[in-house]
Amino acid sequence: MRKRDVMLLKCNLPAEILQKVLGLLPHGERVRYSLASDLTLDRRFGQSYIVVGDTRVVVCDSTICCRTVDLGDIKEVQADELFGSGRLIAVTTEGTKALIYYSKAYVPEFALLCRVINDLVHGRVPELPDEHEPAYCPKCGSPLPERGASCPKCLPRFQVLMRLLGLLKPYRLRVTALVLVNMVIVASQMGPPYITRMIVDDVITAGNQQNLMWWTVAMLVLGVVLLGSRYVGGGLSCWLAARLVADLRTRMHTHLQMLRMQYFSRRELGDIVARVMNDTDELQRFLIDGLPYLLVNSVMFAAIAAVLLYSDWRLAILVFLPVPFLVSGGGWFWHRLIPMFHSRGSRMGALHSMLNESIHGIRVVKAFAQERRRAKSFGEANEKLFTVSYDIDRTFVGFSEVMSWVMTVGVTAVWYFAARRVGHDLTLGTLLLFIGYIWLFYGPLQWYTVMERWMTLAFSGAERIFGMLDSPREVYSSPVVIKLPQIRGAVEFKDVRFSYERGKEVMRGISFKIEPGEMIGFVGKSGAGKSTVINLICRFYDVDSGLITIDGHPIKNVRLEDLRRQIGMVLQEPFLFNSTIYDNIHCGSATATLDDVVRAAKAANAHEFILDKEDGYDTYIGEGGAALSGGEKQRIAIARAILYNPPILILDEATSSVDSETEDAIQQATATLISNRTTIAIAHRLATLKHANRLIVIDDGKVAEMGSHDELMAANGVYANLVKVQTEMNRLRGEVLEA
Amino acid sequence: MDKSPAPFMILRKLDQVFLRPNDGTGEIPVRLAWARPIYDRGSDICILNEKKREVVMVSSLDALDSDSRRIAEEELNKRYLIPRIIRVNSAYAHLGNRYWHVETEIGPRTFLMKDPTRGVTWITQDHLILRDTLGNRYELASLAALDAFSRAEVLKVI
Repeated sequence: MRKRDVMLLKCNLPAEILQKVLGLLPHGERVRYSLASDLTLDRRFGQSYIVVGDTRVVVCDSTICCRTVDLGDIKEVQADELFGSGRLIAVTTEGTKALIYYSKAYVPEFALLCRVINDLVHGRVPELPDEHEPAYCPKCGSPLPERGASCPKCLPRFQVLMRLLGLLKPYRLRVTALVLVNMVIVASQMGPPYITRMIVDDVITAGNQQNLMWWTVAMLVLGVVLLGSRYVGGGLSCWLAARLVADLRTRMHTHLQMLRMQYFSRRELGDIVARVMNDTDELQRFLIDGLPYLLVNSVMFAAIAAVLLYSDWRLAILVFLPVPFLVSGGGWFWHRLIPMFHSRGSRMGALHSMLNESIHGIRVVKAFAQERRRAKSFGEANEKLFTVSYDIDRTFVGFSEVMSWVMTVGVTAVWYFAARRVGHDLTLGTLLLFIGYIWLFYGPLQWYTVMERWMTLAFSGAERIFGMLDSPREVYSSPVVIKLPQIRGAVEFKDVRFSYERGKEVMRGISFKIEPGEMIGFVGKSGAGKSTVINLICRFYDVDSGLITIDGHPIKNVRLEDLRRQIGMVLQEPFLFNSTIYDNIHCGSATATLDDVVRAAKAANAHEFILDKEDGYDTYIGEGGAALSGGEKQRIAIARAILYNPPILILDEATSSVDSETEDAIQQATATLISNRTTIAIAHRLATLKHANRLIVIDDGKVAEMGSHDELMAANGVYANLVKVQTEMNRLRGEVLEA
Repeated sequence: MDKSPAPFMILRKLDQVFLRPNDGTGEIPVRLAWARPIYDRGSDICILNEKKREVVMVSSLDALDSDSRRIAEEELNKRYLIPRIIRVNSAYAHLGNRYWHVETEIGPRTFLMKDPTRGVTWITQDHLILRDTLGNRYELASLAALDAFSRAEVLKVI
């Protein structure tokens, strides 16, 4: 399926399908949307098609088996997630009908179509997204490692190389120097066999003893030049590689900070870190070791071949004979070794994970007397690793020895055929020249295959890095966005629909209005969509449809920095930086003085516990605030928000993970914080929302109820039910504690 | 878990499955799910209501009457797509990704797996469930029963 097809939901219908579909649509009706699935109607791998006309939906597969449903009969279309597949079902006046099945490869596309059909059914104008991330490579059709990623099989090596070289532009003088130094290295390495030839032919055989000194000096000078050029070349390549990678890491980190939240929500943290650290490491290793090796040996290979052909073409051909064996033999061995390396990597990963679990979960292991079972599992996994490691080493040793033997055969052949010609049409010096060059010639050949693989690995790492650097950033400013003035804090949602993953709508047409200075509590079950409201107000994500305004300005049209500068947050798990308490509070306002920081800490009921610490405000809190208790971390986060002084404040489960006494302290701090600003609070413990002016109950992605505590209790709906459950829970807890 | 005959019937209306209790109370729309679809498909079926809450759990389809059983089997077949691999045309690693070209009982398929430690579930030493990067599953019911070429291809990448 091509990218454009999916964007417009118009696939290329085969002629016979199109003919059938047009026959099933009312006369004169056009195909508005169409999409191909990878499962037939009887759920085999194959193509089937769904076509949406003006008034009818038609589904057909390659066997021309068709079914139709009139849009007028459809109440709603649902994307039903199944195990290993999905299906679109139409809830009609007659009942529920399955329309089409598809594998997991097409879940987002069918989710989009589902939304489009529902829009048509409900008389809305469908909105199609600008972007689409395909599961298959649009060029070669291979599955992609992740949706929208570049295809490893279509790696544009030349483009990647050009882009890498582009990064070296600021250092072009050093790059030129490196190339020149490498040429000197090649010349210095090729010199000694030639001098040997001259000493044998010119000095020993011809008796020109007076030249011996010059050749000896030349040999020594070449040695010194080689030493010096290798040192300089090594230094230059190390500097350039390290510089390039350092530049890339900085760019990646800067870019990461500005990427859209979708980028993070769809990837594992480990993958992102691996991209910044491992891929750049791999690239650096190749640039330091691989690229100079490839450069020097390629030039040397060509130069030696030319010298040998020039010196004696018949012997040169003899030297060239083992080349195909060395190259193909190297290829064959590496072809065998690579899957083993992959296997070792996987088994090593499994062992790491098992060890990690055993150590992190040691209390559980001991508590459930699992020591022997864990030890047995680890032993088995370790044995698998041993087997593959042994296979790799054994294959590797065999490879090296066989390659050495092939080279020795080449050398022996040269000795055998050349020695008989010495004194006739070949000088002893030329023979020694051949013997000297032959090792320089053969040596690198066996490594070319691995070099090729190494280069591919490094380039694919570079490609992934560029992929990240090319990922769309949040739009911080553009000609169409406006500066947001100091706001009063009015927030409005108008029929907002949103899904983190296409096909799984978490917000299904939410509308509400918050007045400036109001405190609003969001209530609902886990997963109801409360935190999503916050994510959307902060514009961490863009809505699928609908509108969000702040003081009447659609947030899509205002500068992101202006928007977020006016919103403060205290989260359930407050994130604190690995720095001092002072720095963590101070980051709420770059211009704040110590007095301001202390005032904020006092307002947050944090001042006393901070002073109680040996280093006071200079206390290092460790990674993620490891040196602080949950309540202490929370109060520092509140102090930070107080210092930030935003017109809109968001409290997302700010007191959910602390004890009652700490909660009281935090509640007092919060009361200071919320005065004179719009406050949006989420809490599971409904008692913590007692200060709220109004409560909005979210249920299943919709606003279920809205009103004050008393109003909602009187309505005896979802909220009243939640309160009853919690009251009962508290009563039971009280009874248990008393008992 | 109750192993006596189920006190309800399963019916189908169009493409929707319903549970009708034998006590005459009204029928409700339901969906069926294996409790352990990877390790133990074939027993322990959960019947869930529209809010995904369990209505009842039966230990085996044998507990159902023949019509209910047929409908339940059809429904479970529709809900669970785990094609069985019958031949591996090629499997190879390229830049850390495992590409599989296979023949399954429902047609040929190409898929990609990133990491075999996550993508392969060993039910036994011979029975595997593969999961591709998109979340599709494939079953290798018996490594030993595969032809020698297919087996060698599999062992190259897992």
